[in-house]
Amino acid sequence: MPTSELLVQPAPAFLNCESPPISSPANNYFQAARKIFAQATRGKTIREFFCGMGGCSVRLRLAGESLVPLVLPALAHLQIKSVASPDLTICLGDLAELELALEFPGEESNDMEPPGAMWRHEDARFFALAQKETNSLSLLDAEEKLAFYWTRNAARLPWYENSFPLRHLLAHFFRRHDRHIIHAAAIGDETGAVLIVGKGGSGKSTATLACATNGLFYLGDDYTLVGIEPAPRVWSLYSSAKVNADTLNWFPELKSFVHHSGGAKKKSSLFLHGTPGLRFAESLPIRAVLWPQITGRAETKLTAASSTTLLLALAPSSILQTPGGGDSVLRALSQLVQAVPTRILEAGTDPAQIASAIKKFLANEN
Amino acid sequence: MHVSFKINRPQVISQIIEGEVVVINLQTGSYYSLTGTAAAIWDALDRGAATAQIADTLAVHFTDCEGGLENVVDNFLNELRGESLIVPAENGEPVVSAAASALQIKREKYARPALKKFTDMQELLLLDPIHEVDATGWPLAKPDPNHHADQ
Repeated sequence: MPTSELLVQPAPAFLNCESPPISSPANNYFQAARKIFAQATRGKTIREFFCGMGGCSVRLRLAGESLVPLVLPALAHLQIKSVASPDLTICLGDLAELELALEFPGEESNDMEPPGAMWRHEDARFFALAQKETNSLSLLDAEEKLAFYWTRNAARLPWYENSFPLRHLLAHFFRRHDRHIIHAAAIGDETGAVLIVGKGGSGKSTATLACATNGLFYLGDDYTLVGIEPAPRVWSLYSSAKVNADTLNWFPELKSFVHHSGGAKKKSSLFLHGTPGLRFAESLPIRAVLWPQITGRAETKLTAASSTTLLLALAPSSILQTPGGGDSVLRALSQLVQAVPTRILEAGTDPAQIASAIKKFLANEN
Repeated sequence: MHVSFKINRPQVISQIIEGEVVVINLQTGSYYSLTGTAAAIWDALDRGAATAQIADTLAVHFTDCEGGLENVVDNFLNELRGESLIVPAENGEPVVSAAASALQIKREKYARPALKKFTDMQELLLLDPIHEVDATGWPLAKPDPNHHADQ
């Protein structure tokens, strides 16, 4: 996204306000991180980006330039006009670019091995997550609707971070609103969406892109946001998709949207926002949950599957990839698979037939 | 003498759905499908029933079982314990009365309890272990000395 599309604002005074009158290690640390952001932006301009996700308005405030291409492309399809009082404000900064120092929780701990280790804190008001691999820190003060995302050095962030930026921070924020980031794709038509679940290599991305390039709405490929009450609903989060070389060969029209190539053996990552002919939907009611199985046959069909089977395909990867939800996410997903039809998607080798089978299913289930 | 068990919370989470139990061990990344009368046993454990009560209530509930329910329950509990899905209840930990442990799970026919284990998600946790902390472990964040502190 060109930075010219972003609102440029003077650094807000709110960052300099006094700490709330409570004292806890979490609050003390949060206020210190807040003060550092205020120092970094004092007298300077910052970039603002507003997006609508999960029925909430979220304002991103970026100090500096380095995080713009790493955070905004995957969220570009959710951009909205500025709002005065967003449901959440996230301040983002790159310590290297801003020439700042901030000790991250867990940094000195011998427990922070191996590279992917996370240090996590959650209480009634605050949330913090330090990730060793990404050298980043997410902080949320739910009471003030204010969050910070600090990275030690944006230039060293793993390539995949820009496919799903702020995932853990958003997962925690939305859990407080009874919505859950899950490991599932979503596509649909005007009547609603189907979730496509399954671990990597199951055919999830292939089925999703087959539908998206054949007229169905696209809501997400890997991570989407769902709510169960009052009725199951899915929201789009990211415009990114991750596909292996074989899948990409099925969709040559998407090759120019690859922003990270995994070559012949690893997955490539795409941003689909702006793809000609591809339609995004921000949110749709959930009509069914599908688990793809690659058959090698030409035709595609949907067959019956138990709710338990689909829960086993959906819940573990969703819960283990966004820690902290545990019980509440499992309960929500259990409700979901019992509330809507569950099917095996026996995905054939013709993308158009995959889309056709799902369109037919959506039409007939009305 | 029987040892009583309880579900190993919070690292073990579960849901009973369609007469089966889906269990996830958040610490190991393994997840499980428990079938047959396992749902009834899990439900009884969840409500604090002692081991002896579980076999007794199963015998009342499943009149078509092949007998030897006490051994069936013992063996299954050992299997669950071997996977760290349950742990011994502490001494003095209250257990429910036999009446209160009456099974909530409806099942028309007896089927031997079975555990199926899945390990394909373990790599997610082995790569990204999570260190949960409470009020401790926070560094004292200091503003950068190269910048002036708020006046």
